[in-house]
Amino acid sequence: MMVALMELVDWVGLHVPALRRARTAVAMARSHLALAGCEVGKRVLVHGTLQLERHGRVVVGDRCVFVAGPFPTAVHVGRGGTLEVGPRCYFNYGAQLEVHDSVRLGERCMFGSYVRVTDAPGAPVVVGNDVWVAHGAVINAGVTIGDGAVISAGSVVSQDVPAGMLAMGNPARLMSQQLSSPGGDHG
Amino acid sequence: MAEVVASRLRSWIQDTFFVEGFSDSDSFLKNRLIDSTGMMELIAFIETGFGFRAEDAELVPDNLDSIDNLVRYIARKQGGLRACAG
Amino acid sequence: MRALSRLKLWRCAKVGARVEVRGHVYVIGGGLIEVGDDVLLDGHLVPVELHAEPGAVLVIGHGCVLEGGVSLEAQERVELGPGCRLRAFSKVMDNHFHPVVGARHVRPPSKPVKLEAGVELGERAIVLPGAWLETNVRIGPGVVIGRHVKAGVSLVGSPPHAELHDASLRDASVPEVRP
Repeated sequence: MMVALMELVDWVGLHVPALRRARTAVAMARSHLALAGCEVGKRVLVHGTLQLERHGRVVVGDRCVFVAGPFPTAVHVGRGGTLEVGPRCYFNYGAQLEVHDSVRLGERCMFGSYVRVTDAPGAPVVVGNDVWVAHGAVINAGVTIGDGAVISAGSVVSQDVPAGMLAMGNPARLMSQQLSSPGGDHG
Repeated sequence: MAEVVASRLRSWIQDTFFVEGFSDSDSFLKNRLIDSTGMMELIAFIETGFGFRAEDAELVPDNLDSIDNLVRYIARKQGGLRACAG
Repeated sequence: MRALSRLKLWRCAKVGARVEVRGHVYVIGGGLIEVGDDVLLDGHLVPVELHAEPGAVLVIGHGCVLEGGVSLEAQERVELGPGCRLRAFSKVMDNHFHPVVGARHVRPPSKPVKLEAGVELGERAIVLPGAWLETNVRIGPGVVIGRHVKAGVSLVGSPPHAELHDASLRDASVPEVRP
């Protein structure tokens, strides 16, 4: 019942500008419910459904946002696993984080819809600051992604991506970000 | 030889991306002839067509962002391959 | 059933005859969405997303089939011709939402997307801004494409390469088939 009420306020707030504050308040309240038992920073917003299965440690930094959509965001942290999400990270709907050992996400990262990040025992994932992972990309176990890198839509990344590079394809190849068109191109 | 390479590149680019009226020195990116996903197709074409594997560090505009740049890059790579074979 | 389908699409500006919505459809944005006759939106496992921002136009032609998880996002214009089939979790968008280089939160310009009649998108295919897929083009599963593709061409793999599947639509400029 409470969830349904939150959904209603969220929907109304989305369409009625005057009620945006109510929407934000609901999202903040929702974050405490959805991320119960986690170490949650200030002003974390959870719009929509976030499915959490936590058997390890989860840290979510200040001002992270989980966006609503047609598919829930899913976070699974296994026993002994640690998920650390830096401040001001943004997750579109349908993102999936599966942690067995360690997944560390830097500050101000953006994760598009249906992005999947998975580590494995002994193969942690480390994502730097200001990384953008576009729609549908897959980050496999053992990958380190440097600051400012961009992972193109639909890419499957199984090798490290140095800072500032653009990763594209399946398997993803690395190239200069200067190879994207000026004026807007995520690759 | 360079003319043959340039002609082959131009023909493929025109057929694949439906673009015309560009010079050999025109930037593909600045003139919005090819975007970054198109660049991936271009890289695959030159690797298959000219018989070498491009290193990640070589995937930069200086090597790829015009027909002139591509001709020079391909010549260097093929020259390097011949030197290794020799 | 049909009445319920129309109810689920109440936020669309135009809904044709015999439209069927199975399961859920997620309609957001406030833009103009037009759904043609005999369209099937199959969201019974995962919702279908129809997103048109204010001022944008999203057109779904007659007889199109959209499977679960399909997402259509229009910031300016996305058009599906008649008889298109979009398989599960495929995506069509006319805006990258972020530039690779520069201020990441500044939205780049939109580039309209057009899929002509009979286009098929495979599972998890992604159609990027500016794409124009001519009649009967087939985009394979997982393919990412953002350019003009001539009629009758199949694209598979990463990076995508062409395989001709409809010889009747061949002309002299169709790319060669890769061995």
